[in-house]
Amino acid sequence: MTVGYVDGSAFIRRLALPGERGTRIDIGQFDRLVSSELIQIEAARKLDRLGLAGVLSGAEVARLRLDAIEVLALFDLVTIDELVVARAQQSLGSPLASLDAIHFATLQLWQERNLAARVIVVTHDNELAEAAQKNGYPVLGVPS
Amino acid sequence: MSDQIGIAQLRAEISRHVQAASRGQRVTILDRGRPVAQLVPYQEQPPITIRRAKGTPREAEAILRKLPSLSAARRAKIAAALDDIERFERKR
Repeated sequence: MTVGYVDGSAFIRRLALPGERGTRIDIGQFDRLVSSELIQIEAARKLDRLGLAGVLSGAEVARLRLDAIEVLALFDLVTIDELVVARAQQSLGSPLASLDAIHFATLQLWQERNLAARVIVVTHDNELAEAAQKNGYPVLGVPS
Repeated sequence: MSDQIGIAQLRAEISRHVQAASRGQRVTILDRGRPVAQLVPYQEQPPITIRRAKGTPREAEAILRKLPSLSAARRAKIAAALDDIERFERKR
């Protein structure tokens, strides 16, 4: 089973930049999509900020929020519970900011419970990509 | 209690060391005298909570592919704004 672990930076680009070459990772190629429930907040906040900055219209923000909800219903979303919070506080071996640490902790906890799954990390974030690669995960979506 | 053994010895006596670990003993594995790994008793992992997907990745991709395409200029503007937002987030 090949699993795509998708973070907010990659998801928002598929959502807000339809068709853009280089950012279009085909998430249909995976057997399963996994993320932290954090991705829902990341998507909503980024859409809100794109609207507030005048880059997206109010109607576009509203439509994309609905699309985000519809697509994320097709993901396995891991709850940010005490296990995730505890793991995200540990040294993760890479200089990760708080949101990246929540994603990376979630990825590790999920993988530990699904040892046979091959996980590919889909992110546009260089720090998360580096942490994932250091731990042996293939990465898609980082800017070249 | 912890035992230290080399890789060659582990290979030769793997069943004995796995049994020892299953009884609660930690076995430290040495590579040229340097500790590199541990054989530890298996512990059931506490469960994580997951809201399960209501459909497949292909369905997710199909929804994303139906989104209206944008002009190159608009895409560039949105991409630049996203980069700015994320630069700001990384500072926090």
